[in-house]
Amino acid sequence: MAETVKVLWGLTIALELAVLLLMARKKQYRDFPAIFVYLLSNLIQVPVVYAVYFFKGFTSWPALWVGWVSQAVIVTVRWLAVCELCRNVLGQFQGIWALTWRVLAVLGSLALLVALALGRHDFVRLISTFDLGLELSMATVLVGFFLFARYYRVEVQHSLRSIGIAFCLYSIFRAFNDSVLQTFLRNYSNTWNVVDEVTYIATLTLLGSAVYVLRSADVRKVVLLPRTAYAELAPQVNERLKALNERLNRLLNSKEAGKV
Amino acid sequence: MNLLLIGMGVLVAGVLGLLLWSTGRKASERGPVRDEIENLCLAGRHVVNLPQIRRALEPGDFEYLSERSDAKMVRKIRKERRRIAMKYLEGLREDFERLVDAAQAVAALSPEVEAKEEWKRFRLSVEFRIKYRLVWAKFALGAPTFHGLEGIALMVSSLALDLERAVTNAAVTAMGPGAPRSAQG
Repeated sequence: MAETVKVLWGLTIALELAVLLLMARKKQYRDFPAIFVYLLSNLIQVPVVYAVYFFKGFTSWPALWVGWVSQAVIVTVRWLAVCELCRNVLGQFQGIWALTWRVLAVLGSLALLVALALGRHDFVRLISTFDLGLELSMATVLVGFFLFARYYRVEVQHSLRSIGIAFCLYSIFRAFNDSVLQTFLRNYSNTWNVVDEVTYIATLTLLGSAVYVLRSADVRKVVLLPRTAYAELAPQVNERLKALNERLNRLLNSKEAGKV
Repeated sequence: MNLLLIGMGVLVAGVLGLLLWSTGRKASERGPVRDEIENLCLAGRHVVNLPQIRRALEPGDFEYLSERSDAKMVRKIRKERRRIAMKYLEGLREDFERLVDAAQAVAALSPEVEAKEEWKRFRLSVEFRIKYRLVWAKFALGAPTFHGLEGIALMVSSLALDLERAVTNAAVTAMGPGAPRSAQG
């Protein structure tokens, strides 16, 4: 194994420990248990994988399988962390959350299917195709979440936004890294490792700084409107918008538009 | 380069672009939904200028002036009238955007929303923005009518009134049966 990867691993462990301790000290595992478990499982993964690499060799089959299986666990936990983040921000807005999570589930599934269709399906590449699909799906869900928040003007705390951006960027880079790996296979595997470690360190740094400034007291309770408000308003607004568009249509098609 | 790399490159670039747009500075500059409801003021700001706009765009005035002025002056007056029309149109768009924002704020703070209505509003708002751009281009090329502007202004204004009535009703319902109802329009 390359010295660079060893150094990056050391740095990763140090950062993970620091962020975990920070979260534990601020008792943030109560509000964000999935993020906490994600970091913890990452921390556990490193010595396990390192032991397999040490005893069986970096390029051995057991190393490959242990690496990918543990990665599957980590990606699943990261998925949970992403869901937790979305629910933490939008969950208070009951109405739009019920709509958002369904749309995000569809979006995520579509992205997964597209990636699975694009990826290679032979024995060697199958796992990385699945990983690529999950990463792309996660990035799409996070972008969808930010789009929803922007559309409905839901305030996303700066630190939570940073966590979301960190996860999203990591997924995007990882998905692209997986695509390159699928194309060049063994010739790229070392570089793939380095790129993955570097992006993960960047993600951890962003995550750590977000956790450092995150305060649960910042979250204000949302007071919802009565059910009747929406039921009365939404159809009316849509009818007016429709009429307004028809008016614009007439204006666009009118030939007698006089000169100013 | 194979299909996977190209396809993924395009997808990744698209997702990255959307991420930047959705988390950009403009998104954080807009006030949160709570403030939108707390400071709800839906009355059209620009519809009140309708009589002045009508006067400024009066075709009779323009004909009178064009008969009595030189070509340079006529061009200047036409340019000025167009500028007024465009500014007013821009103002109406701002009114419209505020109303749609308010409608979204109500949706965000509702315990239940209808996916069909949300999709419809999204689609109609996008349609409005596209058509608005086309009308804007048409006006910029020199073909606005006061009637067209008046129609849009009145519709935006009545949309504001409907919204305000619905929000007031909602507030009264929330306060209970003893609440004053004088605010209803």
